[in-house]
Amino acid sequence: MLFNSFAFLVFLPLVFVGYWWLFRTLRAQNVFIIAVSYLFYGWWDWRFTILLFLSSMSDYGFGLFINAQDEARKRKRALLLSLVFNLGILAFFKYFNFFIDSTAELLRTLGMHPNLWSLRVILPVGISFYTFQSMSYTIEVYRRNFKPVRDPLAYLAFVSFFPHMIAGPIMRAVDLLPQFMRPRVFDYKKARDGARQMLWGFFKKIVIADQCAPLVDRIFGLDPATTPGVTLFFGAVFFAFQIYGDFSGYSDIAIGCARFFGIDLMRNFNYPYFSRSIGEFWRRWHISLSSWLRDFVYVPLGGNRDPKRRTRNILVTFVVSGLWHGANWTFVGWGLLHGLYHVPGTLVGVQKPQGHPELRDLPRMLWTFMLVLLGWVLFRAATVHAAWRHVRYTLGNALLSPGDLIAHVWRPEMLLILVMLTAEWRSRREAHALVHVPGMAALRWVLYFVLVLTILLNVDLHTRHAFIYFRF
Amino acid sequence: MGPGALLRRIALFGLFVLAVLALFYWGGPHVSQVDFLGAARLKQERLRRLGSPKVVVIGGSNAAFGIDSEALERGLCRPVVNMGLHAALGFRYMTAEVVDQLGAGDVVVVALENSNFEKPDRMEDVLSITVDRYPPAIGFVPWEERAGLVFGLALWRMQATWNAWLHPEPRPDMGIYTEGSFNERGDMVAHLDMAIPLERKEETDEFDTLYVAERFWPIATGFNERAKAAGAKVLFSWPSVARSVYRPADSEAVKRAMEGHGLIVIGSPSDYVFPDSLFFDTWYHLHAVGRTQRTAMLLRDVCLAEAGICCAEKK
Repeated sequence: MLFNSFAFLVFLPLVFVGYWWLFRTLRAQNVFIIAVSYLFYGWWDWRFTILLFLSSMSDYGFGLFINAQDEARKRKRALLLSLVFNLGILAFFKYFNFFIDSTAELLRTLGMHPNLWSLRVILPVGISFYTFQSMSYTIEVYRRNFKPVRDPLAYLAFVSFFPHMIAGPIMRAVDLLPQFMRPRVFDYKKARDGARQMLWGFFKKIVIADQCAPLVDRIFGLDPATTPGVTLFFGAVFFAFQIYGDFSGYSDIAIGCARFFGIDLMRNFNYPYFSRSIGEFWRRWHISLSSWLRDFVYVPLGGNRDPKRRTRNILVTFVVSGLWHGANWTFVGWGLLHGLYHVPGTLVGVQKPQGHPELRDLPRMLWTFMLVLLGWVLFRAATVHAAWRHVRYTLGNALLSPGDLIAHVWRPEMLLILVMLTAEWRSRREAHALVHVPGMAALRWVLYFVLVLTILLNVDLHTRHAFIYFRF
Repeated sequence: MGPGALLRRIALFGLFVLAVLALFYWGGPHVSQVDFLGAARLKQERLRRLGSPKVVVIGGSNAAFGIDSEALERGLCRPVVNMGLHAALGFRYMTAEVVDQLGAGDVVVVALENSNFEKPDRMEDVLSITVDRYPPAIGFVPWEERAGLVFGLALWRMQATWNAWLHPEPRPDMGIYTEGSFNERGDMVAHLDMAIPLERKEETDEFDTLYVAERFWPIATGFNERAKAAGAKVLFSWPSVARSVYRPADSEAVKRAMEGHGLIVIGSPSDYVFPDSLFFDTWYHLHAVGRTQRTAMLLRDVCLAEAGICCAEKK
């Protein structure tokens, strides 16, 4: 089920009523959460709920098994088994055809004519998110940071909790599981704030991301050789805001929605386009994945401990980050590029920017945005070669053509992006742009109404825009 | 404050927004200036007016453009209503709008476009525009989809109001695609006097491959059963298709599959393949000459399958 669908508009109030009025005990609420979450997930294709269930139950079992082992060697073996199982599922569904296609391509370049078969494997929505979340549980149990849960219902609710199951935030067991093991208390202020965060999330998804999407599709579908550079440049800019509106919008909706049920999810975005360095960008963009990779890939590789291996560790972590997004060389390239951005700073020991960004930081923010933009071209393009052509012709084909520049800047989408950036800049110290709303009730409700109206006027009724990160 | 307080406030706000949407739903402009799909009204009115036995033709625009119901009526000695309008309404809708009007002795002739096999239950803009022009059409949509359809239509009318205010545009030239281009039997006739356009509308992937979706079968067999229970007979015929886009192997496979599901299939798909020069603006829309030939072919196939209803046989 999509957040931006009519079905969800009916689903959410019904679940809210059921959760707080019909199923009031902890156990009943967990059972209810599992049931509605599986319904939410199965709305797309019920068959993959079986995969979700099996994946969840195996990690539940692995957690208990790892904990029951006293010998370090056996514990390690059990953990490895669980990782192989989880990564095996991920590899099959996500990387199988990529591996086959890439091998065939490689053999072809070597002059061979392979006859490799491939399967039409359908990627289950959100598999990377819930697999990583499940894996973090067994790793934490192995590290003895977390005692395994005995209650399978709490565990199933933790993995399947519908607001974040499909596209995150990727929650750690240590943060989320305990919330399913104690009675939830309704907090009006938190839930009201959640509603505002959801509203802002819908604004970003429907008004920003979905409005930029057709422009991006059109520009990335053009032949760069015959397209003005300024058009190609704005294609990348619109994509930057499309992916931000889409993914951070989803996160805002997920976090806000969870608050309705007395559950706190971690922050996933912290105004990343106001970053003053690439390092800061990664502390503000997809925070739950960045921190996951830091703790479960970068640190185990050695992290900062050995200066000689630090560069390698950074690059490996970023390549894994790219691969996590999908089985395509463009994602690998995107990860590698960000890794390379990181390396000079770590070698020289550049100081992290302190405090919140201010207007005087604008040049650094713009420079960081340009670097990020280059990465987005790789991320969005169909192939690495297409990305290269996009960049090459952006710089080579009339980049500073005033007529085209005005045509792109003077667009309603640009005005909407400016509205979003202004609202977020004002709230850059807060969790979301609607934390501070007018004190006067009437004004507040007018603001809500204007936002809802803007959203409704921008709903694309003719194209179903799923969230981009569903495919990861 | 408890969850009830939050729910009350959000519900009140939601009701206010719904009230605004309702205003647009009832007072807003049509979502499209093209009124072609409004022809659903006159077809439905004729269907309800006719008693049994009658012949009901269902399908997409291939049926609307390419069948001469008057000639069919003369050949079958019973009134005909041509319900064909637009393929994108979906096969499920096409069956739903006629099934309750079938009676003893009725014959339903089905001529579906490729997309109806592939996406038999699709609910796209075309359905919304049809409901926009002819609100009772919502009764032919499964009940669980109706609220979403009405909500979407209200939103669309609101957006249409906003767009009309923001960018007022003159009424477009709709050519033959108007409600008034159909005759009383439901046939599109406005194109018959016109020259065949030099450029046809592109039908992108419509003819690339033809496969039958699994969900097609319950709709087809369910309709067949219900028609049978009402004393009617369902005959699956073929759409008129231009030679250059025809895929014989695909169509024959569909024919075998339909027969395998116990459906009565009349004629061969290849009989309904006509030279490109006989088509009007798409590879489904026959012009006058092709329409006459196709109707004769259809009459022959119906008579072969149901000898008793053919006038020539009776005489």
